[in-house]
Amino acid sequence: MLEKVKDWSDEFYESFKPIAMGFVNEAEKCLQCGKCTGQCPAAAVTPSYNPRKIIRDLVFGNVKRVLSSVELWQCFFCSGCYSVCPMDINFPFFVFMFRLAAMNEGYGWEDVKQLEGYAEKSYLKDGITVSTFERNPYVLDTVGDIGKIRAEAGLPPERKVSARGVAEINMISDLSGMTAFMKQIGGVELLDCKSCTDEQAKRCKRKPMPSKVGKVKTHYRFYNYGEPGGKKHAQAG
Amino acid sequence: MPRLDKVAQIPKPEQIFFFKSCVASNKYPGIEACGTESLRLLGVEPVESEEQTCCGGFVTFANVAAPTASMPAVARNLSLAEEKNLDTCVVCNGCWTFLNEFGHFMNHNEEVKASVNMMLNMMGRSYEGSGQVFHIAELFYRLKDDIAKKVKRPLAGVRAATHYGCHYLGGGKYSAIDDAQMPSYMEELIELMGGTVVPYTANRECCGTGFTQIINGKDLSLEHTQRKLDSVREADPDLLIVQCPYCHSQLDRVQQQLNFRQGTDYQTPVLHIAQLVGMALGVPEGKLAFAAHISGRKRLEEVWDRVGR
Repeated sequence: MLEKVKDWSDEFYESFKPIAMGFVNEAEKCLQCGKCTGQCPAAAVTPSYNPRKIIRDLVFGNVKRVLSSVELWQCFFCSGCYSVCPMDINFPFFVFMFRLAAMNEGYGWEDVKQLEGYAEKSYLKDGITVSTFERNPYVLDTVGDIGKIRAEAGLPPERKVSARGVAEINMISDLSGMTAFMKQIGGVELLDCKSCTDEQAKRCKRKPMPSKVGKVKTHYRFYNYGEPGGKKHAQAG
Repeated sequence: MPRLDKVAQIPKPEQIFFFKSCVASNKYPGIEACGTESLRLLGVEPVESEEQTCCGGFVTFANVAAPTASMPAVARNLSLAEEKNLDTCVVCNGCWTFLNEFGHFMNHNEEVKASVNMMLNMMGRSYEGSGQVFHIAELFYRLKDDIAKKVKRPLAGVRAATHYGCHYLGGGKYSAIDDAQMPSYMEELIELMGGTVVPYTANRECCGTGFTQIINGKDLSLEHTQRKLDSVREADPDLLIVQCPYCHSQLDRVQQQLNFRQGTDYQTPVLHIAQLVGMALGVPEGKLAFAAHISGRKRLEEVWDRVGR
């Protein structure tokens, strides 16, 4: 038995609805038809991921099983489930709100930690989320200098967002509580690859999970919906 | 079959606000250059703004930015187009869903709009919700008669397969111009320009980026993309046409990664629909920026030879 009686909560779904801001239609309308799972690209490669089961657990109030699961973080956000759903349930938005709830409980930080650079180093600093920086040396060999290619295409060598634009999104970030949220996450160390020491390089590849984020103690997640899927695990088993 | 009533509602504007995408600017500049250039050739003047930032969709859905910041960031970008009294044209499925859905949400929630406007007023802007957001593929489909008239390099003998991308048809199932399960407007455009459409089994499958899965769950992401690429290779098209720079980057780059990791030989060039239209309309070779493409360069050269430079 994975779940205990005390993990179940009738209030969870009711308390969850207002935060979802009307983006998600009522989950209690779910027919459990499983069309979502049938066409899901994530379920195709990892059978333990099952949107139908996650919706059922939300409506029945089996909160802990959802929030502490690895499966919650395996969604591809392709919206295919929404496009086939006969009851128009926007499941990807549920996943989005669920992930925030799970982070509040201390789950999933090992994933979020890898991504914070996109917000702090790129989006808030330059106004552009994906920078010209190339991590893969083979791509770098093939493509070379992207500024030169841009110039050949008749564009300015570097796309720049004006100082006013960057200042404005930083102001939005301050006013809407995003900066406070980033501080809670802990921010990132700004490393430069040219002046990077060996010890920093070791950390650079994969950031470890912090033991605490703000006041929340972090936990590792579980495969709550069955055996982990994927080729890697299939070969091991 | 495209929803023709919806297509008829798209205006034929003289000017449009061209929304630049992060991947299209920084990884595949050809998409940006061809997008503006082909619109110009079709008689639509693209207007750009340096103050336009990223849509912010990636950081929001990667859960690294507070969701409260996304509404004002969207409203700010849309207000730039409103100031000029224009509609917005995007090249990326992600930008399209994010701007469209959140804009729609604000237009129908007065309270949210008021609080967003309070924030924007502090920086001397305001959001009314008067402009619309169009994907560049929608505009191409609307202007298809003009495209047919202005083809300079007919794509005769070019076999092309299509990939629509999830966030356009799936995420916006009520606002997109085509059916989510059986779309066909891109095929129509290709045939209009003289090309041949190649069907393949995994057409409606996701590209496998999985939003953040390419960073966090790389084995899942690669496994799914490999399924898609296997199916593409079976049909063996000359070009794989996408309409989203993020799908473009995944399908293009993962081919090289799989070739390196598993010794396979995937060599299918991936092109954005803006680049294909630009190619047919006779945009100069440099503007297509094929130097930024990684997979199937040899095959791309063959296509060039067939089409004529």
